[in-house]
Amino acid sequence: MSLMDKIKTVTVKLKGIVQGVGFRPFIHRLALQNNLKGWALNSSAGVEIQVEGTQNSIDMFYRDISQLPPPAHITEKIIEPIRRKNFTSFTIRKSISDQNNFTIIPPDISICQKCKNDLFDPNNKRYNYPFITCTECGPRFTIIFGYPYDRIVTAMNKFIICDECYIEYNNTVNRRYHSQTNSCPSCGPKLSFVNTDGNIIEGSSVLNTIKFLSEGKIVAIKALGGFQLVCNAENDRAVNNLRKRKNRLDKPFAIMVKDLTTASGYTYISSEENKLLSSFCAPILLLRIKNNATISSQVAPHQKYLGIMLPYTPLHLLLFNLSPFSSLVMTSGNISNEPIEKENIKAIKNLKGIADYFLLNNCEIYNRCDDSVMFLFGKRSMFIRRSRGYAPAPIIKKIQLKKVLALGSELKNTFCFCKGNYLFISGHIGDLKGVDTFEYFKMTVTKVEESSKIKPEIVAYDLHPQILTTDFADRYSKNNNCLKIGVQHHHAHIASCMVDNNVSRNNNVIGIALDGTGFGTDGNLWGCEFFIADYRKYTRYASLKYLPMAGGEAAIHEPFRMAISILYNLYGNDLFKSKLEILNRISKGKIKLITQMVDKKINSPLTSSCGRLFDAVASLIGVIDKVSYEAQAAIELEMIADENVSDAYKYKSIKEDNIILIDPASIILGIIDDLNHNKSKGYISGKFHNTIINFSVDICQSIKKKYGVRTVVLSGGVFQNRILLRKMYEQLKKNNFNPLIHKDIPCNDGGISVGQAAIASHLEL
Amino acid sequence: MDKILISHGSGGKASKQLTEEIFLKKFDSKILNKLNDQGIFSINGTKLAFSTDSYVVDPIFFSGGDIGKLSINGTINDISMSGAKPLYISVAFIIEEGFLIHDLERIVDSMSICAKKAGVEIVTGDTKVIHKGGVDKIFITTSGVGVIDRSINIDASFACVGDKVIINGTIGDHGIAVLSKREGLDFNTDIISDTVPLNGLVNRMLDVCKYIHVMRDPTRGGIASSLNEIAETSNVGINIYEKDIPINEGVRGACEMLGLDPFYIANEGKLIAFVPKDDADDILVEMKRDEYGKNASIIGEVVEEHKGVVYLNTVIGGKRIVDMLIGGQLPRIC
Repeated sequence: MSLMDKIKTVTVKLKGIVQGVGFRPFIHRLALQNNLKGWALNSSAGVEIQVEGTQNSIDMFYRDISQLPPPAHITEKIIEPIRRKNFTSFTIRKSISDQNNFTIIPPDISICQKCKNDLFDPNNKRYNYPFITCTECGPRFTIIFGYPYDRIVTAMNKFIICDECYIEYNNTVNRRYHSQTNSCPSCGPKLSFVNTDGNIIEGSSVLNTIKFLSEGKIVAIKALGGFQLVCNAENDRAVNNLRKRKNRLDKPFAIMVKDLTTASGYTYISSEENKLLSSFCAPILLLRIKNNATISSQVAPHQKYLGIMLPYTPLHLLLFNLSPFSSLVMTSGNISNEPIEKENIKAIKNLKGIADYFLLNNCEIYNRCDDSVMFLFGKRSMFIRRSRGYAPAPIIKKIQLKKVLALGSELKNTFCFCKGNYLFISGHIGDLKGVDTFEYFKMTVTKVEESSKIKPEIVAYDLHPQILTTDFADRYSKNNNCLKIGVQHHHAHIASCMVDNNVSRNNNVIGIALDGTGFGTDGNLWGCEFFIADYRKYTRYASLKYLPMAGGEAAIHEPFRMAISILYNLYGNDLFKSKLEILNRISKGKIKLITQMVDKKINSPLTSSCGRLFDAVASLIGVIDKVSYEAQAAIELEMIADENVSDAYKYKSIKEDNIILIDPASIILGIIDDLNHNKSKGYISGKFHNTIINFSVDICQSIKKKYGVRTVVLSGGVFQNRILLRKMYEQLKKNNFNPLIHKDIPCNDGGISVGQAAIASHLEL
Repeated sequence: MDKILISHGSGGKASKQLTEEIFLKKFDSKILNKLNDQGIFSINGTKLAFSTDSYVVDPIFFSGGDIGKLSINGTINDISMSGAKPLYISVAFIIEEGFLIHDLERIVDSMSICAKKAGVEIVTGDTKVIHKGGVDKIFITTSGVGVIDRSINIDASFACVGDKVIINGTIGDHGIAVLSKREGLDFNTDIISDTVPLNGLVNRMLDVCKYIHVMRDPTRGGIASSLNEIAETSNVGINIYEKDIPINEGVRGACEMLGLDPFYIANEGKLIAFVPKDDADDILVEMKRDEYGKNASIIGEVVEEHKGVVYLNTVIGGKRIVDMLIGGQLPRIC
């Protein structure tokens, strides 16, 4: 026996996302492959393993562990040699349960290559079977209703596993060993195809779906995390119909494409983007559209980017494989502001005004899950919406947090439970003003509270007095005997980006929060904020000078109100003598009324919002006067911008109450001058983008000079604007700053809950 | 709470807090605690309703009325909402030095015509004059008493699951009329205050059905505040339907332009009644016969679920919570 053959025994302790992701079966197989004996179990800390075998086998075992099944993720690995145990076999031992320990619920995983092969193999028993899964792919979060993860606490409990599938389930070398979702055509869920009266249409459900989609019909499909409204993306009439029926005038639709080749026919795709599209998360990725893309112009009007995803369930694959379609519009099956539908009967009732037919199945969806939306900034992937494929798995950061429930914002709501360095961020919840959405919010809070086993010491919420989370925080803190802490919206934005970048507790940063509007501590609506901040506190160093938002929320829907507000601020009643184009487009009566509302302070709250300044410019130069979806004016202004412009407008700033105020009117003066000289909209927009970057960098310089802070944190929904993000980042780098941008947490309001959690955790109570 | 804010008088959450934490606590009256628009009690076997209100509207003359008309109709309506027949009214004036006698006469004439039309008698009064600047033009306080038929039992806590919610006409007219006059806003259409006495209408309704459960006049804070108060006091859920709520096109347009939600705008000639399901249609028919009920409409119903909360089913098929107003109408975060 050589030295290498000597038997060794080691303990391996793994932390991270290692439970409920088919990890122990994976370890079991590795042990068998490498001829190792011992055991594995779930412990309070993660997974604990003891293996015994030759050094060579153990080394191979270490190497293979890194080829984890997706979504498993190891954050910490401790290996210790121990005394020889003389194991005779490898076993999965019973979990050591710990009441204080949270359960990690795995996200849903897009269909794996092996299952794809099975799906299209005519000799396989799961040939064309729309519910094919294995331990490495398939629904998880969406079908779970109890813990720990096991078939009896999933929607699969209704389907009695057949003998053949059960044999696979018990076969350690089969990839369906311990697969809780294992099923086949003889024992698993079934499809059905019905009309709007719920009457079944005979024939193959998949072929029926394809037939009606080819005719330009809209079909509501029960997919992974809820219903999707589907139509042929290359059929103008179908897409237009969907827009009309969904009451969605302009907001871009995402599409699902047959394969990567189709995607690269429509859009420019880098190798990183390629990788992300094909990952097990299979998010919607925003990609730059090619001029000759053959999709309907109605899919993403006025956009430079197209939201694309690949088929992520076997059902989606079948729809493409058995049809001539290259791409399908796939949008959430919901009525505006309400959560995505997930039950057959309710979906038919609520969506029959939109869909012509319904492709149903009899497997229940327990948890809704919207598609995730991302884009790539260089090589860095960034979230617009973090949901399917990611939530509800926690984000693990190098930061210590108290036990907090943070309720998030009202729009694009997510909430977050945190403890230690784990952040359990919910998937996309939506606009809480919708009754069913708020019910969904409350229900999901309860669910995550149960699974995370976090009993919050603090409930954190936004300071806006009129949003539903404020009341909820009140009741929650009383019922659960915990503290409640109100957190300023933009401080939360900045803290969310600090967490995302593992900024440690005593570090000061320059925080730039640019967004629509958030409630400020002076009762006004902030949105272009330059803070010197840490997790505990912030100083408002600079902002935009306040402008009245005539009509409050109405000004968000009608950007021309902000344009008139600024022009009135500049010219007073001489405004009516001006020859600006906008004055021909908007009726004199309306303009007069806006000036009166401003003068008399009728429903005209003050705002320093960057988003509202984008609105004003978009309307002033004739891009758009009235929007049909959130941030449309800012988005369309970005889309037309000439990125090669290097000029910028001059701006003035003043100091008031120790805050530097950038005067938006001074920027508008330059724009009017360019309009008078017939400069193009693209040029003006490009120049306006540069102006925001200029004053931002100037403010950072001033802070650096005074306080020596070099780290700049960029957050807020405006940073979804890629021109602004890229140029701001480059300029800050060039000027010797250390800019930090988002990664795992959205920069928009979907990240607010994380910031609230971090701030509430750090306050000294 | 360390200082009185404007929101304490707006009829929303702050008003409620002020009333509960200061007035109810100190005055300690079972009748007051019910927080109805009027106090109800019996004297020698006669059931009476007693109510008081102050009027400080600016401007004092507006399209469709004036401060005097408002002060009489307001108290008549407050009493009527209990099902009582209003009979006698008191009037107290606080007047700014320099106020024109001519204007005072105009106001008093208007009050007198109103009272006669509604069949009530002004039986006592008081006048105080304050130095210039100590009060803004004129404030009027009116109180009134009425008699309630023994068999009638109306209270904000009596809304029952299944009840239909009826309104007697369009919403928001008064608030927008006053605002546009005060601020000199021009909406291209004349928006007229809806101030009217509702005792006649209430009479007709009670003749059809004695078992009306709740009645409220949705003044300050609009129908949103009244519905919320009722949902909370009765501990029931209320569903209302946007498509069924009458609103004048002029008011709708003005609200859109101003960015205001008409559900929170004051009315002065409107009532919301919660009536047994089976009587709703008969009551509605009778209301439509009255000159102040022509546009009456069933706008919703009481449900078992979402206790204490009002849901609005919107025209586009969504559902949202109609909350109590906190302070002014602030735009939502976005």
